[in-house]
Amino acid sequence: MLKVSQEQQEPAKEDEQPNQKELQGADETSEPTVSAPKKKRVVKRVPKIDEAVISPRQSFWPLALALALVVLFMGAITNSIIILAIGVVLVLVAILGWSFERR
Amino acid sequence: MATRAIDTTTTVVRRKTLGETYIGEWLMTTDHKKIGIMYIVTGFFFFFVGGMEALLIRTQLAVPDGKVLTPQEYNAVFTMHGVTMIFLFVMPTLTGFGNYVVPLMIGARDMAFPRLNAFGYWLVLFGGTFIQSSFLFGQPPDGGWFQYAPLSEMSCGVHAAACTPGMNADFWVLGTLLLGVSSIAGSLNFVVTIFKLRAPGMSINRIPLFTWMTLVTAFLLLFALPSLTAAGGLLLLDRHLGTHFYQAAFHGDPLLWQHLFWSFGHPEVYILILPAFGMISEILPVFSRKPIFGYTFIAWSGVAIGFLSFTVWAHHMFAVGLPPIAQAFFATSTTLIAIPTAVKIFNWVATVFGGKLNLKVPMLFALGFVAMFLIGGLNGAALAVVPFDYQVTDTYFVISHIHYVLFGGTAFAIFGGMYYWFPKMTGKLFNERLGQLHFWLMLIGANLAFFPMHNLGLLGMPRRVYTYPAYLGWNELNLLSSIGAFTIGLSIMVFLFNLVVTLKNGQPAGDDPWDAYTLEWDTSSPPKKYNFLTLPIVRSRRPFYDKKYPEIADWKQVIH
Repeated sequence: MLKVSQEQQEPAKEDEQPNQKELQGADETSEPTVSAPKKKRVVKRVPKIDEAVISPRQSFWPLALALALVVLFMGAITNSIIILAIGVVLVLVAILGWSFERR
Repeated sequence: MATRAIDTTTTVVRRKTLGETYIGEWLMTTDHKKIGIMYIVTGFFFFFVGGMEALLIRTQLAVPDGKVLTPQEYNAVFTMHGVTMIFLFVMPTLTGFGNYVVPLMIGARDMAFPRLNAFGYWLVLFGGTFIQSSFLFGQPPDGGWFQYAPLSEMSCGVHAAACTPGMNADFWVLGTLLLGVSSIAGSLNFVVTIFKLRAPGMSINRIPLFTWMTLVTAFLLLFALPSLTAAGGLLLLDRHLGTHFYQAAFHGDPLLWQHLFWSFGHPEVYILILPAFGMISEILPVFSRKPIFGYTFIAWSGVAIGFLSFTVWAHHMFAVGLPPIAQAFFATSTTLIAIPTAVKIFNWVATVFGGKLNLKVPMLFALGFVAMFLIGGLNGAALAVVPFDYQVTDTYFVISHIHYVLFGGTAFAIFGGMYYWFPKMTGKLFNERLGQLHFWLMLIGANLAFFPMHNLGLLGMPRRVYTYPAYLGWNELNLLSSIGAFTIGLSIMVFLFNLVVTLKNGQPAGDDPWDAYTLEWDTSSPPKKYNFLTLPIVRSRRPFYDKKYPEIADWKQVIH
């Protein structure tokens, strides 16, 4: 969702007022005339970007999970049970951290 | 009387979180542009590692009876050269360009799965470090980038002769597994992003050709990688749990490895070249001041190449004794794949033909790509002829072919892409003269290095030999090839110097230095985090061109 800032909305109110030409025309003719139906003015609203809303949040967990996987593989390749166990724990922590992270 | 102003504003002072620091921003980023840059930087780092290995190989082979490397070291160096260049330079760098450029090109604000994207990058970095760390253990992979079984088994035959008893092959299997996971993550992301996040009006027939080729590549990876993973898994079982999938002595089949590996390996060649095709298809029209010629043909020939790439794998195995019908099939399919490839070449030539050529560095690299890839394609078509393949298989002719395709082709395209999109990434223009010097040195060096290899192959020099005696007539050609390799090294030094100079004092590029056609140039340089203030509306294949020149917009001229 894009937010529209307050200051960008305000000019729209001014545009709703009759403009100068229309006022002059009204002075020149005392008789009321049938005027063409007024075109509805389209007011361009420049959306204000709220980075926090449209951009993905930063996250440490992708890095953590990748690192944990490499620790796990390093344990596997060196036949080191300790490194392997640390790797398994780190992988689990990283998956849980990623899963429960506030989006 | 002295007065004192009281500042009524209050300031809350707090420590920056990790994500707000400069380093933390990069470590925790999920922004596709930052991830793209990290991929490219990592890819180039490994390019220098692989380049050093190449120079070691060429130093060893420069003269007969070379003594720079022992046979065992030579095996490790040529294996790691291939692994590094394929898995750690070309793939990450192309993924990096895709990451940076594709969302911008299609008018998206990011990739579909930003965290998965970051995960893919970190796996490449750590997976690459994991494989390279094998040097620290003194056990780098040494069985070639293809790790043929049963040579890569712990032991072979009923007498259990030692083959590769150390961790060498394990590093290769586990490393490629990590990189494979990264590629799957990246591919899924590309597919979903391109299908679901395109700007309004950007139909599939309007997406830029680099995006098209990235999409095809992503599908190739998704379908090809399982084969490599399965092959690696079976090899690990053989090595550590006593199975014998690849050992004939125990009723296994050594050719099973080759079938599994090459049914990944040949699509892999197209995985390495298709995004390069896409880059060239972006650069040539901009610097020819014309729309691409035959957009539909280029796009769908990429799809055709993708399909056919799964039907050609056994042309790597003609010499193993395939039945004649299999040889006929794979020779035919290999020849067939030359057709969509040639379609692209003709379209590129037609794009350039009659254009107002602007021979800036990206264009030079793109033209260099077309010429070099043409040579690589032609000698590849020669290798599809079975009797000829029998003669030159496993010789330097094949080395020449792969280097014309992957260096003359992909590496030239990567440098072309680098010079083309670098101003968008940094807001600075490379020094043109240094860029031209880089191009010409690289073109001369590549041809000096790789063309003599044709002759060496025809003269019978086998690949993977660590040295050769002086009386075989290979001396001068090898020396020439080594001089070429060092010339390429020199060109890379020029590029590095240019990079440093440009980052320090580069000329400001502006938002659209090339008067380009696609949406990535409709942003600031470098683009804002959210890419586009408002999502662009697309009405043709050159949306930014339409915006700049509304009176001659494409959608007014022809139906797109």
